[in-house]
Amino acid sequence: MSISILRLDDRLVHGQVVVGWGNALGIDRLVLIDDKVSETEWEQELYSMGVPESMSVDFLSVGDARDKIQDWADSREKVILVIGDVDGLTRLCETGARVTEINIGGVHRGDGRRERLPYVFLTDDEFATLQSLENQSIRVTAQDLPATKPVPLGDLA
Amino acid sequence: MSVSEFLLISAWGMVVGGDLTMPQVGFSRPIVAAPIAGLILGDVQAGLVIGVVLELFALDVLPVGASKYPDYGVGSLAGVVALANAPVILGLGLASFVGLTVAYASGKAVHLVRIANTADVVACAEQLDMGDPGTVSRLQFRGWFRDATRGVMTTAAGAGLAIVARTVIHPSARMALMSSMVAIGAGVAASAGGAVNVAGRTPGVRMYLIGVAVALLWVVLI
Amino acid sequence: MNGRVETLFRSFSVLAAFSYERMSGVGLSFVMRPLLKNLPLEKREAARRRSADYFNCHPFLSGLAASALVRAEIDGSTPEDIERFKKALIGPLGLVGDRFIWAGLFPSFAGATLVLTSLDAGLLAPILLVGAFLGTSVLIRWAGIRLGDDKGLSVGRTLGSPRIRKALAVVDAFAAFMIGVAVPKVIFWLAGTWRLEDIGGVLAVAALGIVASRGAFKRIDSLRFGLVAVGLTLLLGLVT
Repeated sequence: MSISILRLDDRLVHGQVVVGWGNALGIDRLVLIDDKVSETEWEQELYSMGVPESMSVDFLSVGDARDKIQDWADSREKVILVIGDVDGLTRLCETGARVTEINIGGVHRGDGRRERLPYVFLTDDEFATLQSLENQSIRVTAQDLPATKPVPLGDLA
Repeated sequence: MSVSEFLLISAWGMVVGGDLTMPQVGFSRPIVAAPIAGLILGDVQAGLVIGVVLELFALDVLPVGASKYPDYGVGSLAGVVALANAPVILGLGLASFVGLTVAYASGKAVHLVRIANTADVVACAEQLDMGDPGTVSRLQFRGWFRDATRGVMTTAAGAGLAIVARTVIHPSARMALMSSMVAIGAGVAASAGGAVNVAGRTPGVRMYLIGVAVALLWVVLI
Repeated sequence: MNGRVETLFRSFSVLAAFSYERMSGVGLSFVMRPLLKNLPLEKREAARRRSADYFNCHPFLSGLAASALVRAEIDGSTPEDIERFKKALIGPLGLVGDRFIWAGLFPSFAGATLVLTSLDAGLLAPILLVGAFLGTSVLIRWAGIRLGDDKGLSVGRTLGSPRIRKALAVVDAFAAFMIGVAVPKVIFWLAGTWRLEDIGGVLAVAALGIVASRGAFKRIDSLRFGLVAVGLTLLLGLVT
């Protein structure tokens, strides 16, 4: 039926995703999109350890995920996609994949990044990239939990 | 309320507010914070009642990640000040209203403490990247101190607000009783939301309803 | 590993300097310090330099993170692997802790305390609650520190085992059940001498609150609903 959320979050799986969004929206499938994690077993063990049995977890590279976006959009499951970095997000949205909305859930301290919101730290380049995605008529907002108010990308400048 | 009672409540507020970050052993739950405040004010029953009502709201809070949430512990202290030594059933609505307001404000103050901590941590970045143990210990202490200060100040301000409210606001008896029931009803709604939060929508609702059924049987049979 | 008991005590303060920039990274450095002594001198310095960077996890499991990271250093993981390990601990340790403790044990205990209060246990109820919170907190922290020390890089395999996933689901469901049990008990306890139709009023408000905060209007949370509903009723009481 739908991709419930495409979320940008460098923690990938954590309480806000599974308990906060997952329980509130009744998510069936959690897809973690990260080139390195999709190849490393001990990382996959870590990332899947707290996920409820009612939620399936997939680990995919950005390329593999791009090929499957349409399937998820058409499937009857409610799917949440989580990706850790802006670069991967851009590659995922290339080639006209049907993405209409991006949720910035958490990007934290790193080289050259500046605090935009308590849970969003971005470099100017990353911000510009997100803006260009928005110009492709994708709605980009920051929101950590279902109960908090979404903040439009423009307010993070 | 005497000056010594005010000071004791504020000191307890330091423990209750601080417990959101350390040691996290339940002092910040309304069902713990409020009865002890009731003990201080010589009305344990009022403390228990406010504790129960605000605990229903607190069940809807999941402090996941670094999300923001209301501080129902400190809120319940203000609620007790508003209710102590007054007729419970007439004062509960107003006391809950005060408690919810203070919970909201004190939760916002948590955010201010985190902003102050952030500025402090940013200023110490160089020493932290050297892994300097002294800097780490000092930051820990200053962070705790800010939080304790927040607990004292929001409790003292909340107690002040409660005293003003109970002095100034006198609704008709009929509506006062009604507001008490509305407060309890809103708390029940919050707790149902809490059940969904903890266990997911379908299993959460199912287990919640099973629990309700068990309790109803218990009430009817015993 | 030496220093585990000191790490246990220190772990209670892991959130003290919580900041949006490094989250509980400063706290983790503080918690980890006694364990760093187990590293040979040349590794110790580098590990300490890394220790205070951005990190976050469930506070009860910060000792586990500290001991697992130090164990991975002892086992000879490369600095790159240590960095990736630390990053990969953030979400999962938060999630397991959130589900087991914040969404599981603590609401279960709180529900049980409400039931006890409705049975007129008085001050005994909150005292038991603090005892239960403190006891489980110490146990979980200590078990975590031992597990991290034991498993190092492969803690995920143990914590992600089917048995633990099952336990998480059971604990979370039990919490919802306990909340369900507590609600009618406290309504009747609070109502005391009320008439039955008054309880009907409570339930009507509750239904309205659930619809408002869970239904169409996601922006109305339970706190806002409570404030508006109680506030309006009081206001009506002032003008009528």
